Amino acid sequence: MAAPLLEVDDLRVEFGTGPETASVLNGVSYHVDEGETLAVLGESGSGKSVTAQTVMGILDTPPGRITGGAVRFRGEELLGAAPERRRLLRGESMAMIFQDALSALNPVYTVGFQIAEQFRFRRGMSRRDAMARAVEMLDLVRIPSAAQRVKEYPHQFSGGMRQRAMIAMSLALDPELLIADEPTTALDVTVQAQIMELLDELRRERGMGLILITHDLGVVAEVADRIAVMYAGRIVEQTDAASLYAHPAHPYTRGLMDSVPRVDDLGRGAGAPLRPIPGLPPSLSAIPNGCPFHPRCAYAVDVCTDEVPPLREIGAGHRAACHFAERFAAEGPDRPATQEVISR
Amino acid sequence: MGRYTLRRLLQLVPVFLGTTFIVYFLVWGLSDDPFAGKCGQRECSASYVAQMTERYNLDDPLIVQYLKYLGALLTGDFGQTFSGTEVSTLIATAYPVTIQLALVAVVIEALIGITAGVLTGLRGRGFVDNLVLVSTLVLIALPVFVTGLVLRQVLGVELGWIRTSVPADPTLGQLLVPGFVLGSLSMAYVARLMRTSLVENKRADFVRTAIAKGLPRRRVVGVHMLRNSLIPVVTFLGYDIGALMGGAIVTEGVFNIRGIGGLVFRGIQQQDIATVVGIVALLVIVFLLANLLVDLLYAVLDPRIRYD
Amino acid sequence: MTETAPGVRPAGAAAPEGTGAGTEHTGGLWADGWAQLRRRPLFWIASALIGVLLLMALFPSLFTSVDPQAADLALSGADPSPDAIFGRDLQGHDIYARAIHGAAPTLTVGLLASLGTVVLGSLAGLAAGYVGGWGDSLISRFAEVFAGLPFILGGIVILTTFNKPGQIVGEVRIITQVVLTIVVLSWPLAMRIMRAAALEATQQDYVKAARALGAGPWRIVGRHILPNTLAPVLVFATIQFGVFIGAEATLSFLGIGLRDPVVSWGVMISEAQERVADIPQALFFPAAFLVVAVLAFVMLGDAVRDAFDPRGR
Repeated sequence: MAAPLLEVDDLRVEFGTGPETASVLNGVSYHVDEGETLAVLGESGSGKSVTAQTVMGILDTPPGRITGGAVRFRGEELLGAAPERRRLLRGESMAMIFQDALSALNPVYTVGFQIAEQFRFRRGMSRRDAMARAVEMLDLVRIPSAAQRVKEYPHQFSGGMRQRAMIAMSLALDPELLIADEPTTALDVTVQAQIMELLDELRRERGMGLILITHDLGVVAEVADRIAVMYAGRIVEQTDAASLYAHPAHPYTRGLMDSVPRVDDLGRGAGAPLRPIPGLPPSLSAIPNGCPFHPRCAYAVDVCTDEVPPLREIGAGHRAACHFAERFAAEGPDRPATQEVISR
Repeated sequence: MGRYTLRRLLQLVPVFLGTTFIVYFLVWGLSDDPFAGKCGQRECSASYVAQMTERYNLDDPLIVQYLKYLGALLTGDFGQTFSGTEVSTLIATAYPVTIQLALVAVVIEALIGITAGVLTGLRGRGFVDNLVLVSTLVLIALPVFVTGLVLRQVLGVELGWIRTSVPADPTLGQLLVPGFVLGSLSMAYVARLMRTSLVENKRADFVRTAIAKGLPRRRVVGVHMLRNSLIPVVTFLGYDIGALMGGAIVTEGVFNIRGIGGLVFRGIQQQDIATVVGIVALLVIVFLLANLLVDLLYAVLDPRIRYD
Repeated sequence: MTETAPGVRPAGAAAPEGTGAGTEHTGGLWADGWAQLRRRPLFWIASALIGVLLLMALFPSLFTSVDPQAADLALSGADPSPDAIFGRDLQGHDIYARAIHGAAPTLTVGLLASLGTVVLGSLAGLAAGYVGGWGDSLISRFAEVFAGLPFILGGIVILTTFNKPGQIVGEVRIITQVVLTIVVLSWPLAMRIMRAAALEATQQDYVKAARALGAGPWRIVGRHILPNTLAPVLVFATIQFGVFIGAEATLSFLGIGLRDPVVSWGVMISEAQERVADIPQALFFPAAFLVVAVLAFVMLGDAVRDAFDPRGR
């Protein structure tokens, strides 16, 4: 089998130095194939964005420091590659869209200018041609009267339109991999759906790989082929979307699912009560011993405080980092798991 | 934009009236005998006093005097000095050199200040950063007249590189050192402003986007970081031009430049009221209009600013 | 003169909480700021310099026993010697003794002028920012009238109106005049800072909430707005202290500010400038004192701002 489009292998990143050192990534591994959507799910601070920034090569170093692992694009190792080589990959092979399009777009240049810039400086086009291409890009992401709006500034766009412009910009050089870092978090719910639909459609048309970073399970369900759940700088569960929903194998994944209301519950009147995950994610400069999730885990037993559970295969393509992953997976999502599950 | 400009212009009117009236009141209204010392050791002759009283409307109440003066001013008549010279002639002779000096100063402070700010802002902490930080501190602490006196002494007297007294119609080269002195304080502020602004923008999201787009480093820095960081600096420089055009009294004094600052200083010392009020009125107008222009320029530089 | 640098002491009062906090940011703004401040060498250098200057101003006899007015024309322009370590000026004054005695008037003007500017400017700014609307416009226009006068030009006009050039004026009177002149021409700066801070604070949700809960205007200003505006205004006051020392010197240099019999560094420089070629020490030493004093306050203000403005970190 050919190398996957993108492969992140045991990536480790630290922030800061001395006693303040925070281990932000503690061995993250995932891969994305051509035309595939991988959703990376997790709370803020779990390392989703840092992984993406490391892949893109736009992590601020310092304060960040890559201490181990590899990022391979079509088999080519990137972490050791020359900066110029990495720059040429950006935009061309991999592109990224950010959560807050308002601050991610330069406020003093028109939207058209910022899209055209790539055609001018990466494709050597003239100003005029580049601007014409920018209009086409805005058309592609369905911004009405693109020819006029191309001359407007980011602050003159609505939130949804701004994110569309951001998408247009990221697709300008026709990348093979698109990383979308919480692309809909800052938007209204109705607009969120439109943007997700647009992203999904563009991915299918162009056969791009898509990494969708989000903390929103609802967003993921619709579009993801596979899902990686991150916690405290680690992947704790990774599988295809269907198995994740049917057989969540990590208590954290279950916690995430239990803490959002599900539409089918509403129809039945009073559904299962929401059960938020107690506690807070650990401080990354003081990750607890053993399983990093154990202080918040309702099922934690002695072994959880002592041994770090490795990420291991528990079924076809289903990997989880829990000592009792098989039992949780067998339980399914709906029956509330009890202490019994583990003691049996 | 048009309505905003109009509103700002209207707001200038009370400020202009207030400032000129205060100065008018200070120099005329508080002076118990405007003719003291005007005719050497002797008392002024009755005919002279009558003529001057007529010329400056001294028999009217102060407010009427002021309004009459203002009326004349609005038709472009700056009045006459006690010795009968047209104040407008004096201004016309003195102002060009002051403007030249102000422009030289602003160009110098912009060049040096921005360069220093960019160097430290891009490099981050280190030797250059500390060097610039310390030198800006010293520049801020040095009063302009001390810088002026020291440079005049060292470059003019000891080394003989410059003339200690700038001639009436100076060349650009002769204005370089005075311009440096005049601009030295602002130079320090420009350097610091540029540095702060760059450091803020360096971490901005849009700069990260520009990098993620795979743009060449030069383009990221030059177009996305510098252009955005320059906005507050350019604004500061604009205000400074307005201020320098009216405030070079000390520098002009130290280097004996025959500009508007020296003119107004002599006018005050000789109690030549018409000169003082005329020049102050002119300088205030220049200062206020410069500020208005800068505010409008700001909207051009930063499209987010909308005045309506 | 017993109280200076008003911005720094409140931070000192919060020191116990900040002590040992080191890297944690658990304390309030003041405790955090103080913890930051203590780690800055610049702050300590500035404080030490200001301490020495204060001693000089309060107890000049600690530094010299020579009468600054004692002049011996026979020694006019004498070079530095064990007798007068900085040499003598044109009148034969001991430059060292005069420079020491020059501290008190200089610092008095700086202190009173920055206090006056801050008090007047803050009151006006608070009123404008809190009241808004017409009151704001009125105060703002009024401030612009004074801001529209270039500082030195305005200073010359005011001071020459009240004292004819060369007129002999009493010590207290001239110091008062110089202080008031500086305040009248500078309060718009403090007013703008306070107004902006007050405007920002009034827009904060917690202030709106307090208002909705029925808190009176005095309570809102005192409890919610003032504490949040204090830091920028105090930083301004510290830096301005230094700037005003320079302003005093400039006015004295032009012959319209402090003058004999008052001894200040500006007065000394003004006296020295005519004969600078022959007696450079008469210019150099007071100028050095002046620059060091201004530098100390600007540095202190810088350090305080960096410590209390979280965005600068």
